[in-house]
Amino acid sequence: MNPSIQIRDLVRRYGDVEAVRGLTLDIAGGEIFGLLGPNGAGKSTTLRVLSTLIRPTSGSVRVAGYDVVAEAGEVRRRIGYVPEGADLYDALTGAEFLDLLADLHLLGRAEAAARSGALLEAFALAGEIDRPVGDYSKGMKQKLLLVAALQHDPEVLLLDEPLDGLDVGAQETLKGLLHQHAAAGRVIVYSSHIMEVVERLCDRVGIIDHGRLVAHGSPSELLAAHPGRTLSEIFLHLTSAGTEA
Amino acid sequence: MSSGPEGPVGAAAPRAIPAGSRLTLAGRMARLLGADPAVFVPFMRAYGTIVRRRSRMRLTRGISPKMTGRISPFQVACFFATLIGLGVAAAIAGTHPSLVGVALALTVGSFLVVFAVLFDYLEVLASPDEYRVVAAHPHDAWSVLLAKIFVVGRALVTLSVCYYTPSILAVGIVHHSIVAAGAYALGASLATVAASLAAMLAGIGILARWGRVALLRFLPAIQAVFLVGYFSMSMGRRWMFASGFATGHGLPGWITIAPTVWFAAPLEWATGTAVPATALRAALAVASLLGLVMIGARWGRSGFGETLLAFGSGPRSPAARRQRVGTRRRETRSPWVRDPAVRAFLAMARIHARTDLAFRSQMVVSTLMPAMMFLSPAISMGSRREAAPEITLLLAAAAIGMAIVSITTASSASTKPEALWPLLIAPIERLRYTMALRGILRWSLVPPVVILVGGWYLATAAAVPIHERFARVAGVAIYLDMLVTLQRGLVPEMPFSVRPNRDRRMQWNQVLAMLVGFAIGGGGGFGLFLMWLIRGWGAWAAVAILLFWRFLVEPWTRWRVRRATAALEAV
Repeated sequence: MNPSIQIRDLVRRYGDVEAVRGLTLDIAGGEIFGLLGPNGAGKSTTLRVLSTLIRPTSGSVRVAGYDVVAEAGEVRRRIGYVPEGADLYDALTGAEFLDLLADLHLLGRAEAAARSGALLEAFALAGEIDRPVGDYSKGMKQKLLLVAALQHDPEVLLLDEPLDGLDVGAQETLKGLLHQHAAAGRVIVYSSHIMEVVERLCDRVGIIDHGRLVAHGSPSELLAAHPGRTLSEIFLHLTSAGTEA
Repeated sequence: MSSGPEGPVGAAAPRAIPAGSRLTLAGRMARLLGADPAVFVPFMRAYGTIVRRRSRMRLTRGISPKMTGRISPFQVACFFATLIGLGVAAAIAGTHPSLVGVALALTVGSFLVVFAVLFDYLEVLASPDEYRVVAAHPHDAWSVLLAKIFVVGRALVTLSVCYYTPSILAVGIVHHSIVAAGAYALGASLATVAASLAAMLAGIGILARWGRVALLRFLPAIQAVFLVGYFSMSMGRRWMFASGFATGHGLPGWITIAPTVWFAAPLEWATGTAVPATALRAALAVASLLGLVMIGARWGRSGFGETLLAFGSGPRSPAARRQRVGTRRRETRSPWVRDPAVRAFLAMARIHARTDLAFRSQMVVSTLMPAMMFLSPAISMGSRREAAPEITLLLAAAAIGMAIVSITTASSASTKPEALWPLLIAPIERLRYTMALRGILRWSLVPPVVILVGGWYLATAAAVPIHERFARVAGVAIYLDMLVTLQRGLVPEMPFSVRPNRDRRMQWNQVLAMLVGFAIGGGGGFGLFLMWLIRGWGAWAAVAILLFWRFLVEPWTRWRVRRATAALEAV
């Protein structure tokens, strides 16, 4: 089955607050899709729906060909998700945490060790993996979350502010891994505030404001549609962040 | 398992375990209960590790990990549960009728379970951050919930076995009956199940409905109820027997108001001490258990497992945000406090009172323990009028002294000392900030005891000449004032700058400083003691000694605080 994401008229309400309002979007395999938007625009909520954390209030969402509500289990087997600012089990060591998630994905110990070992080396975390997560710095926790999301080689990778807390070396490592992942036909949804990274990394960009998709296309298409403007200026022009500024 | 339209996404179908993998006994049991072993077993393993490694109950607090070596915090908790169990076993053996001791044992045991659930295991049962991490991985809520219940239940059973075994033996020995011991064991088991279920459901319910802050506010109240109940029962036993608390061999009917005592019914029947109220207590015990099981089952059927996993994952509603902002606005500075250092201290104390469970618990203990220490003996010796004024004054001084020591120590610690940085970069002199508590304690604790208890002493101690009475009240006031300053010197760290379970190894100079502090404190205590030895105007000489020591403490304390704040900057 071809990995892809199909979002149709997605609405998600929290009580009286409508976080996502009728979002429709397609993301094809092999694509790094950047999700941009001001604070509270609905980026994280969209990622939570895609990752099966929460169900849509209405609309339909399919990830890797499976419905996120009716076939949540199938979706979970095919995705990797890095939430923004998540706390981990402080009492577990990094290795124990990775083992837990590897077990949930039914990875054998040897297979899991081989996959996570390479990632831990790449993120320079291998030496710290037997320490309790409670002793980790913010950057180390973020690296552990990235390894956890990547170790089962997911078809769809959902990243919410993945560079948060990472040192320069780890940032470059992650960008390299994302390119490799996309080249292998995987889908990556990348939510961020950092325009430069999104512009350089992503094949296509979607700008969300107040829960609605206000623009999408490749960075060059967006720049061509708004001559003389940088991506940051286009972002400010299209969203409430620009109005408030 | 499905969930409501606002809830998270539902369960995955159970998956096949990879070929070659064998199901453990726990995995087979989980499958029988409708869970997916491929989810249940990994979570059971992870939660088991978490439970073994963390124990925040007061049972193990303050013990350095280096002292316990390879022993896990859970094993230390089991050790202390056994020690407490030995204590209540002694109470059962030494109390007549022994049912009173049994009532105490069941009450303490039930609170032990409640504390274990709420203080240690609630974050395993319901962690607001967990869902964001695990939800995107293959799982189903029922398997995860069952793993939580299994691990926490196993830990509670182990703790309860450690706690109840000595008292079960004591009951068997006291009644010369294996049947009695078995009946008590049955009651204790049922009490453990009921207390566990009640604590789990109440804790999870509060967390899911009102959030973590509500729970933090609720826990110290439970602790307060326990402390008051425990001290009332253990220190007021003389009063209880004198007032006909227990007549003959049975328990009185009115004690049925205490739910923990309902579970003594099997023992009452087994030992032939049943009264008409025993049947009512047994019925209430069974009904409460059934009720709790039914509530739990209903929550489970209604997709509560998923709701539990997902709580806290959505944004706060605008109404709640408005309410929170309003609360913050109301809590702005008091017009009565002008010193910025004192204001800063009160602000930090307020923040910790709202968010730091360890601080709240310590403050509850710091308030209640001295109060109970003072009230219980004061009430029980009320009949011996001659000694009462003297001893009451000293008891009040001891209780306030205990509160001073306890509050100063509690205010130094914070579970999040790194959050002190706004204060460290604020234009507030650190010495004044550290000394702020001294002023607060000096003016809030010392005058009431001097005015109320001292005034009462002056009026009632007719056997002592009036000038001697004044000397003693003055001596107590000076001693308490000295103690406030001395304790600051003994615990000189900036308030809320020390992690509660830090490694407590001390350098030789710290040991020396402590010895100097104790010597000064001992000198003051000796001065207080002299006042009761020296009769006539000589008592005022003792007051002079106390004053001398009082002024000796001041520079020593300031020197210690200055060094501590300088050391903080060096870090």
